[in-house]
Amino acid sequence: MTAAPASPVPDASGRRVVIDPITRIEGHLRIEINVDDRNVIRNAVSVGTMWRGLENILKDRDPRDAWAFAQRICGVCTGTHALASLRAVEDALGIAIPDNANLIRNIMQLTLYVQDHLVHFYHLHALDWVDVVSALKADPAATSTLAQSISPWPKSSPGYFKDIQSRIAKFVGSGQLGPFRNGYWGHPGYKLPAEANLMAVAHYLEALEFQREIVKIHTVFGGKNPHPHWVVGGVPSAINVHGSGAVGALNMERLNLVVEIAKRTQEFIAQVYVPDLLAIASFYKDWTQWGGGLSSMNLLSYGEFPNRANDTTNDNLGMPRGAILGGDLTRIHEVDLKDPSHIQEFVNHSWYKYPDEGKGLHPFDGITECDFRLGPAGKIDEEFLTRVDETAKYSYIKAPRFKGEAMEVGPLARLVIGYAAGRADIRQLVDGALKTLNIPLSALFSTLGRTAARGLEAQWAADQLVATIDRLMANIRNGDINTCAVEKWEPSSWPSLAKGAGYCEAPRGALGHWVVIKDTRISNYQCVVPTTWNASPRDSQGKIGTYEAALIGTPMADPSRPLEVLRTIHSFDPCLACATHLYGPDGQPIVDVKVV
Amino acid sequence: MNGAPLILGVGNLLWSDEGVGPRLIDLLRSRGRTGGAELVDGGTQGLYLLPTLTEADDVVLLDAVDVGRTPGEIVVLDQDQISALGQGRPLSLHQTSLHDLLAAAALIGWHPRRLRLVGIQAAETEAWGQPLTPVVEAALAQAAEIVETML
Repeated sequence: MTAAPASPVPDASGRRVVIDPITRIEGHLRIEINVDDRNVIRNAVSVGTMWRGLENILKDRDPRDAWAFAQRICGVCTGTHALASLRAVEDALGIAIPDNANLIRNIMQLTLYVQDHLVHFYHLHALDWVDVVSALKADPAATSTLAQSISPWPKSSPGYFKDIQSRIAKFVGSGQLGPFRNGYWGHPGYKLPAEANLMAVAHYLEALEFQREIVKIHTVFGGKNPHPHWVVGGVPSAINVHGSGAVGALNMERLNLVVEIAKRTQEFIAQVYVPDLLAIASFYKDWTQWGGGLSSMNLLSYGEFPNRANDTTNDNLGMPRGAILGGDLTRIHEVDLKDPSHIQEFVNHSWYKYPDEGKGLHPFDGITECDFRLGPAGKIDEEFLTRVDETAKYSYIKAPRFKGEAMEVGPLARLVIGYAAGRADIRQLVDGALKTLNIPLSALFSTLGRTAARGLEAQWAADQLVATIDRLMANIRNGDINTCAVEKWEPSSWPSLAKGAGYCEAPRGALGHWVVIKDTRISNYQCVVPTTWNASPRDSQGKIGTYEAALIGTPMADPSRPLEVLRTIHSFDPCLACATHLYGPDGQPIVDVKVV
Repeated sequence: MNGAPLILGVGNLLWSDEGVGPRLIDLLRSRGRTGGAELVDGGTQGLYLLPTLTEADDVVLLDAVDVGRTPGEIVVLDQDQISALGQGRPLSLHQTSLHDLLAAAALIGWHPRRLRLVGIQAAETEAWGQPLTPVVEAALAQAAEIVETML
């Protein structure tokens, strides 16, 4: 028996390396690490470089409008913020939503899971494992043999892969690298044979095409996409199965389209995403040793996908709520978003100000007041942040803690909590993948495990999506077309003071919104987003954050080409809110790596 | 693919001049002079705008740009200029999203008949929760007129 797992202890004595920004497409995240003389990461510092003042924008507004502002927090998973916001306001005002609204919200959320996981794997993360340049050297016939050996997916002929190869060669040859320009091509960390690289690049392109279809589900139920409509009390989807009446109402033709897309999504994930994931993983089993961080200890999920409307008891949730602490999988801790001793945010190392920073604040009492100060070792040169000092304040991200502990959130947390809770569907999914890869459950607590968990969850979500649409169709056939509860729409029906918490499991992890409504207006609004948990800085006790813990101990081949850092950070699917200007005013490169 | 032009505004409404694309969409909608063109507020959706973009073959992009002009100055770029600027100079303030979006669209074989960009040189892009700067706000009406005459 090994000793109980413990969070790694940072050692900042070695060389400092700064990577800014770290996300491939969007976001404001900077990582500073110290490596020892063998290039092993010994200290890691996660820095959110953008101030999110959304809470202040929402003050004094009508709580029924909050979702529309909240969904702009994030560039891509807008729906989850809308959903968390609606749930917070409905919780505060005691609004119960109809069954159809619950089903349609689940469909919206499941659609987001499959789309987001698919896009993350192929377009934001795969190029950390797949060398595009190597794909150009692959033998299309051998690629075809490989593809046919792992999946019945029909697009697998030698001619197909040859065409893909010429398309990529032409694209790269035109100097228009586009999404491929940030790769560390040829890095010794790339281990896939050229044929596996070509197969993955072909599926990168297929996934680009395919994800265009999935979002049509959002358009059907949300009226438009991007930024579908939502409404406090239910969903804004009028149902009219007789084909006459309101323009834009849901009819059988639209519902049949949704069924068809869901089934094709299920097929794409089962025949392309999961086989690719397992094939790629089989070449990178060494990555089951690194990047685990807190995942073997502290995991958190708020739970998601209520089966019956308005019932958040754990047995009613498709993905259970709970926390695992200290790696004890035999005990699942209850999580209560309203219990001030459960969730608190600290700002000792964050560029915010509390009247008493010795204590954390529960989000109902949260304060978002900016306080940018660098510690003595921090340095700014000509308006550029050269390095932060982690002994002082160093990030625009607060440090949320559950019962005082830093937690990992996301697909890995959800699956492990579901597994520990004995959920048969999750156990079957996880055990099947572990068997295929011939690795133990503990191997999941790693960078590779995190990436695998996301793919397995995509499969789960696609299956749930098909089943949930079936249930909605059955309700409609039985004559239930109610989608919104409007009894408490008028502010005159509200109490003078109301507080609510909105839970949600976004694709990237636990998301909470907290609202205080006073005299029909928002008097306080706080969001704790998944990346706040994962990208958290240190806290009042000096406990390091989730990314920080995950990086420590990882050996690097070449710190000036930090592929290993990208692999681990990207495995969390970071999302640091949006609109990014990744170029400096002088057109500097997207990723600026400095070895200090 | 339908024949109606697509006017796609991108940017973050919550971030001062970054929000100029969506703000122009609102303005164009209220002026009602864009005929049958489809007006879309793309926000910061990046790759998720691929379906919207690739279903059109005549596209006008609206965005905040940083091309070293006087803040509030309006620039109109054609397809070649967009590609040329996208190679390393800061074209749009959330350029990676827009640039990657266009590159991804090209990768899956999207070749629009016409692609143009109307941008306004940003003055302020750091102020979260702030509205457009007055100089950019003042340029909105002229930018809207330019878009209307392009159709």
